[in-house]
Amino acid sequence: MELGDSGLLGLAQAVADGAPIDWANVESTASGPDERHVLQQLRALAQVSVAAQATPAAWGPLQIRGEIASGAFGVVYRAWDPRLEREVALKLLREDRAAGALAAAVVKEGRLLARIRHPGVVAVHGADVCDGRVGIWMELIDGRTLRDIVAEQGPFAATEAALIGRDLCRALAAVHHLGILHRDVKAQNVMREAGGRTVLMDFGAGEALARDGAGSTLRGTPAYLAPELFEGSPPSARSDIYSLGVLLYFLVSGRLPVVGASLPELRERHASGSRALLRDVRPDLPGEFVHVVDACTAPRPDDRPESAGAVEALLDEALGLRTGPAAATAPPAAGRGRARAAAAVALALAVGLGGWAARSRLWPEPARVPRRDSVAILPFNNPDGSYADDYFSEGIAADLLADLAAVRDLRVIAGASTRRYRDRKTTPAEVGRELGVATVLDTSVRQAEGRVRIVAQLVDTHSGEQIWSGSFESARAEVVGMKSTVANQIAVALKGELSSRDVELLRPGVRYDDEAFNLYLKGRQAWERRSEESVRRSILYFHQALDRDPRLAPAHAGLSDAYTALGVYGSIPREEAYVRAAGAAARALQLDPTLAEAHASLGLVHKNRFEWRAAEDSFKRALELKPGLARAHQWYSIFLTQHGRFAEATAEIKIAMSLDPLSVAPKLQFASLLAMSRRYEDSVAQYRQALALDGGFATAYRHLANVYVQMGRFEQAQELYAEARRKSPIGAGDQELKADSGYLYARWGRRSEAVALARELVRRHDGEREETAGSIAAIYAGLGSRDEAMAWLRQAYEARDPETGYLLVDPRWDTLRTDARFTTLLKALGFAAKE
Amino acid sequence: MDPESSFELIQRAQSGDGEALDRLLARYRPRLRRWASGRLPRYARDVTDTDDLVQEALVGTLRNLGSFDCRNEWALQAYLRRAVTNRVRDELRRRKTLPPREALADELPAGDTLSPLQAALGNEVFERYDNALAGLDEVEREAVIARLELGCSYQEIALLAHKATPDAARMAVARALTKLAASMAAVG
Repeated sequence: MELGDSGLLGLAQAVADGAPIDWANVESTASGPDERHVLQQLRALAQVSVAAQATPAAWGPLQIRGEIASGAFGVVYRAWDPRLEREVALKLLREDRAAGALAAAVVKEGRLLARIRHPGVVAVHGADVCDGRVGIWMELIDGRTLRDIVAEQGPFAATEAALIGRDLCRALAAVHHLGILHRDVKAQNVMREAGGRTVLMDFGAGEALARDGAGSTLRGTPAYLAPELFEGSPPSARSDIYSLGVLLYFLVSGRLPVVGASLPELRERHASGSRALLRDVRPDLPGEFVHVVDACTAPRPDDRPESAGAVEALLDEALGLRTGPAAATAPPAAGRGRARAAAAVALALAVGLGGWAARSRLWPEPARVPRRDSVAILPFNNPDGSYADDYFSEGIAADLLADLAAVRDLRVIAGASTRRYRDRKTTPAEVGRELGVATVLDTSVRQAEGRVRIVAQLVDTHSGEQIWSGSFESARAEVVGMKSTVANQIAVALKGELSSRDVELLRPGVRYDDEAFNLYLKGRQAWERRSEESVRRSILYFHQALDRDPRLAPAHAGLSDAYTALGVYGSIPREEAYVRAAGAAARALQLDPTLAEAHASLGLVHKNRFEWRAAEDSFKRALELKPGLARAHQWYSIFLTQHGRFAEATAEIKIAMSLDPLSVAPKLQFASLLAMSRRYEDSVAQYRQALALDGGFATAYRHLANVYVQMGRFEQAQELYAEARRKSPIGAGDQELKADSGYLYARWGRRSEAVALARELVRRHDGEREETAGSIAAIYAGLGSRDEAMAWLRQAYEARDPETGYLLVDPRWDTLRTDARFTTLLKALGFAAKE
Repeated sequence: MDPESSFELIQRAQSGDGEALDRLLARYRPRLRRWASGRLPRYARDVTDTDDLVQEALVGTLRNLGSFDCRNEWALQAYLRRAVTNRVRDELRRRKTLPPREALADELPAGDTLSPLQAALGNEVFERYDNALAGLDEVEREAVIARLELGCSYQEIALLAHKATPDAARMAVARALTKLAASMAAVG
C-alpha cells in the first residue's frame, strides 16, 4: 500500500492536531526510501507539536496563562476570558477523551453543574468542545486544597474539621438537591480560600475513570469509594456521604481508613472489614466527632446518615451547636460492631498506611528496655541483587534514614558513617561501640516480578537481642508507602509511642522517580567528598536527576549546596554562585516547603552572604523539621561560632558529630570552634583526633598549623605547613597555604619573608584576580601594618571573602580590634562589636 | 479572539490607550511565553524569568513600534519574537551568563545549554527544522510556528491568516507541514 500525496496530507493534519500516530505502522507503508524519509521528517515535526500541545496558548475564546494542575484526565489551566474580562480556571480533558459519547456526557454534566449556585460549590461557567478538546471553565479559586493544607500543616483539630465538614454538607446538599451526585469527594477536590471559604470542586466529570477486575466502570478515587460500589451497586447520595466521611477521617489523621495497592485488594479489604479505626489512629479526638466519622463511613449504606443535611446535624451536635438526636440518622454504633471484629487487623495497620502484609513483634516491657534513642541503619543487604538493585535499595535506605531523622529525640546515624559496614563483617556490638549507638537496623531487600520484599530487624547493640523484626511486601510502585510503614514501626519500636507531630512527619511523602532519586544520592555522595572536582560531578548528577524528575526537591537543594561550595572555593564568582544556590534552594522549597534539607541550604547561602537573621531562621526551621539532619547542625554551629556564641556552637557541633561519628568534617569544625574560642590546647587535640581518622585533609594540617602560630609554636607550625603542601593537590601553588605561611613569618618576626609573600599575593591578586584579600590583610595584621591590613580587609569584605565571616572571633585580627575602622567594618558585617 | 486587528490596537496603544495595550499583551503574551519556553536553553531560563522578560519586551516594543510596517499579523508576530529574543540576550549579557561560564561549561550536562526543542529533536534535526522553516514563505512559516510552537488554536490561525474557517486553517497548516517535511528530507 502506498501513502501518496493525499495520505501524506492526512498524516500532516494528524501531526498538526497533535493526534497519536502509530509511526512504526505508518513507516512500514511507505512506498520507498524517499517517502519513508519524508515520513521521518513528519515524525520529527510531530515532536515539535507534542511540546506545543502541552500548553496550548488558547482554547476557544479563552487565553491560557499557565498550568495549575495536571492529572490523568487532563490539565487545569489559569485562563483569561476576554469577553467578560476575568480570570477563570479551565479544565481541558486529554485530547483522546474528546471523542463521542464521553465528550457529550462531560459537556452535558458541565452544563448541569453550571446551574448550581452555592457559595460552597465552585461556580461552573460553561462546558464545550473546541479545537478537538473537551473543556470546562469555571471560577478560579485562589486557595489551597485540603490535602495540601494537611500535608503542609499537619492534621486539623476536630473542631476545625467539623466546621469544614458542615460547609461541605451544605455544598453537597445543594448538589444533591439538583439530582446530581458528586462521585469524587476527596481532600484534593476541596479548596480553601485564604478568607476561609471552603469550596467543593471537580465533580467526577470524566476523570478518575477506573476499571475493576469485573470490567464494570468505577468513577472516583479508590480509597474514597464506598464499599458497595466495588460490588456493582449504583452510586447514591450515601456513597457521596461515605466519601465525605473518609475526607473527615483524613482531615484529622492524614490517613485513609481502608487502603490497598489495587482495586481488587481494596475490595477484598472492604469485604473482610479490615480498616483502621479512627479512635485507634487518633485516640485523643472527642468521641462525638469520631462517631460522626464512623457513621458516615459505615460499610453498609443503610447504616449511614441518609442525607448531607443529616450529617450536618450530627456535626452540629458534635460541635455543641445542637442538642438531641439528629433526625433520620442511623445510630452511629450500628456500623461499629463489625468494625470491632476487625480491630486486630486494623491495629496492625494503624501505624502505617496498611496495604502490606506486616508481621511485627514489638518490644518487651518498656521498663526493662535500655534507652534506645539511637539507631544506625546498615546499608541494605541485597542478597541476589544486581548493581541496579543496589541503587534501588540504597534509595530506600536513604529515604528511611531521612524519615527517621525527622523523629524527635531519636539519633539516626548519617549514611556517611554507616557506609563502611556494607560488607557486614562487623557485629552489632562492634558497630554500637564504634558509632555509639544503642541499636542497629539490619535490612535485606529482595525483588521479583515487580514486587519488593523488605525484611528488617532491629538489634540491641548491648545485648545482641533482636528487639523488633518485620517483613513487608508491596508492589515496587508502592514502595514509598511501605517504607513509611517500616519507618513508623521502627520509630514506635524504639520510642514506645510517637507524638502526633512525628506521626505526621512519617506519612508517605511524594513519590519520586527511582532512577532520579538514585542519581540524586550519587550527587550527594560526590558532594560529600567536598573537592572541587567531586562537587562539580555532583552538579552533573543533580541535573541528571532533575532531568528525569523535575519535582525532585532534594536535588534542587543538592544543587544549591554544590553551587555554594563552588562559591566558597572561589571556583566560580561568589555572587554568581550564591545567586544560583539561593535560586535552587528556593525552587526546592517551592516544591516542598517542609524540606529541611532545603531550609538548611538556604541558611548556608544566607550565612555566606552575611544575611545573619535570615540564616539563623533557616537553620532553626531546618532543625525543627528534621532534628536529625547532621549538616544543618554543623552549619548552624559555624554560624554560632562566627557570632561568638561558643556554648551554643559547641552544643550543635556535638550533635552533628554524634549523628555522623565517622565523618571528619564536623570534627574539624569543632577544632576550629575551639581555636576561635581561644582554647588552643583543646583545639590541637581535636585536630589530631580528626587527622587520626583521616589524614588526607590538607586543609586540616593548615588549620592546625594556624593554631600553633597563635600559640607561638612557630617551628611546629612551619613543619605542618610543609606537610600540608605535600598533601595539597596543587602543592606549592596553593595560595592559601602561602598566605598562611606569610602570616606565620609575620608573627615569627621574619619580616622580609612575610613582606615578600604578601607582595607576591598582592601581585597575583591584581593580575590574576585571585581572591585572597583576606589572607593578605592577615599578613599585614601580623606585621602590625594597620593601614594596609584595614585596606585589604575592606576589599575582602567587598568581595564577600568567607574569611570575613570570622571577623568577630578570629584571633588573627586581635591587633586590629581597637581600630575604629575595624569596628565600622564589624558593624557593616552586621556584628555588634564584641565587648 | 476579539476581531479587532492588532494594527488598530497598536495605533491606539501608541496614542496612550492603556486598554489597547492590555489587549495586545493579552493576545501575544501567552503565545510568546510558550514560544520562549520552547526555544530558550535551560540555563537561560534558570537565570531569567521568562515571563517578565516577555512582558517587558512586549510593552517596550508595542509602545515604540513607530514606523513599523504592519502588513499583517504574521509580520508583527515574527517581529515580536525577535524583540523577545533580543531582550533575553540583553538580559543574559547583562548577567554575564551568555555564553555559559567556561568554568562550568565542561561540567554542566549538555542538556543544560539546549532548548527543550533542541533537546526533543536532537541538535541536527532541530537545525534542519529551523533552516527549512526559513525557506517557507511567511504565511506558511507563521502558520506552522503558530500551530506547532505557539499552540494557537485553528480558530486563531483562521483569523490571523484570513482563512474562512478553522478547517481551512487546519488544511493550510497541514499543507505547510508536508512542504516543510519534504524540504527537510531534501537536505537530510
